Amino acid sequence: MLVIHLRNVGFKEVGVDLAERVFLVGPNASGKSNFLDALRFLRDIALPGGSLQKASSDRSSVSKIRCLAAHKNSEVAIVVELARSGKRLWRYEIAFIQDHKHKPLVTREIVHKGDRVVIKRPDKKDARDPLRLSQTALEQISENRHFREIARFFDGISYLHLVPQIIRAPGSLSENGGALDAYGHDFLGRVAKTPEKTRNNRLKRIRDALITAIPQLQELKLETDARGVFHLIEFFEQWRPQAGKQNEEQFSDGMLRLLGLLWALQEGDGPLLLEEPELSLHAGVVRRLARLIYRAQKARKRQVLISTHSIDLLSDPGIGGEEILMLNPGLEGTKVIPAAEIAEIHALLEAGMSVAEAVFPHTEPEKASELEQLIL
Amino acid sequence: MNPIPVSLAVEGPLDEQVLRQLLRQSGKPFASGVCYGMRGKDNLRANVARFDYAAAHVTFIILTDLDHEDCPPGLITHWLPQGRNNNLLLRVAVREVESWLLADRKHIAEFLGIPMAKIPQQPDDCDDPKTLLVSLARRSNTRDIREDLVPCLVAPAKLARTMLDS
Repeated sequence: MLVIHLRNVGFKEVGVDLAERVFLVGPNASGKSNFLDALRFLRDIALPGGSLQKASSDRSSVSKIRCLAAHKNSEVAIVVELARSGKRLWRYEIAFIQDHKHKPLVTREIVHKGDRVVIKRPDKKDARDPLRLSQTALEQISENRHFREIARFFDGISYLHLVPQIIRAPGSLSENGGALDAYGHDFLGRVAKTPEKTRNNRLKRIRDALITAIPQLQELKLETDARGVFHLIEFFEQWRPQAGKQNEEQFSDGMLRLLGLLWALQEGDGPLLLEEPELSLHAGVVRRLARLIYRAQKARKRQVLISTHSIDLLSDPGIGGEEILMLNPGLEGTKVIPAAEIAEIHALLEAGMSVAEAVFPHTEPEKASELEQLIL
Repeated sequence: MNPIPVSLAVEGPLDEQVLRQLLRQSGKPFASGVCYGMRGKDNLRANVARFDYAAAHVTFIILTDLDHEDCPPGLITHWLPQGRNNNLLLRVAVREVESWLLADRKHIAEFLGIPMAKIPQQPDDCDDPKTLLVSLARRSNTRDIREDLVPCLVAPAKLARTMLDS
């Protein structure tokens, strides 16, 4: 279980416990993606070849990461606690500012194991060599020896926001590796790199799941073309023989996104961040997503964070108020409120209302009803 | 006096706008907040006991149309047979919220751009006020009203706001 505190990462000040499954809801531009991005940021530092400098330059610069509402305080801080059954195992705190060259500079990096301090920076070595503050201990194998568990945990975070167009034509974008991965840039490559047996098992499970959404689907496999490029091939039942064979370039958007989602749910066991998984999917499928995600995460004991705008997705009666985080933007930056903490919502849920009906009215922007009056 | 926060529950967007305006014009310190429902009468009915339960924490005002049921008190007992929390008000428009709009004969006539004589004296007696409102608007001498008819049917909130703001 994760406890996360953020300051100036799109939020002035936020501190919340995250359930095993979390749904982030809120109006457009309320900071749902920023919230997920704080965790991706840690991953981008901790992954092999990652660094604070790169994580920051991938997001243009520190000032872009900072909260718009934070005028004076330019320090960005992220604190993450890893806990199991209410007991804190680890605590990682990173804070940084940007120097005059717009490069991030660590102002604080503190690691606790339980209550014991494992590392506390800036330390004497940093005082002797201030350049050290351009790097985190987290990103360095020689420095993170005593808290490698955290580094591995962050490295295990995966983020998914598949863009079907990118999966179909990965070559059309520059080789920016990591950052594009989440959008499906190397999706087929990842499928191809998976050991054959695991891959076939996963594809079979995906096919079994997809059949419920796409009844005419018969088979799903990975094939190589004459140039050695991998393709996902699906076989359809159709009245014309041979006509029912398609590769990913011909897949529909919904099919590709669902496929990517089903793959991601089976890949890895670290926290999985899903950005609007409902996109391009039929409402009937969306209504079943919450349960599908739940089953997959339960089998792998992994935490899943989902940003969504979908009433259908949240209409699943199995979703509890404690799983919902509401992002309410205001003049003082966005506030993140666990839905169950609002007495009114808590009571409505207790009385049996679905999360969608009880929570969505609270996240609707005040002026949304004026939208239909706009003359464009 | 501190404003009293009120949560609303209604059948659809027109009802929401009417209810918010009523609260605003009531002269009472109500601060209308979240609006639940918006999925028709059956959905309100299905959730009314839940609103009643949550009324322990915030005042609720629920507005629904009587339509062709017998009488408002009957509807209320039917919906809340166990009685209701004192913080919950269930209000019933006879026959529909549209009747309330028609009741303000002078302003609705002005708004629609039709003679006041065309508006019935007793809108409560009108069997289908929604249809009546549309057929009146169709006879409007204002082009905007006529051409907005169809969009208003789809999104009645627009009708409500334009009317109540004017």
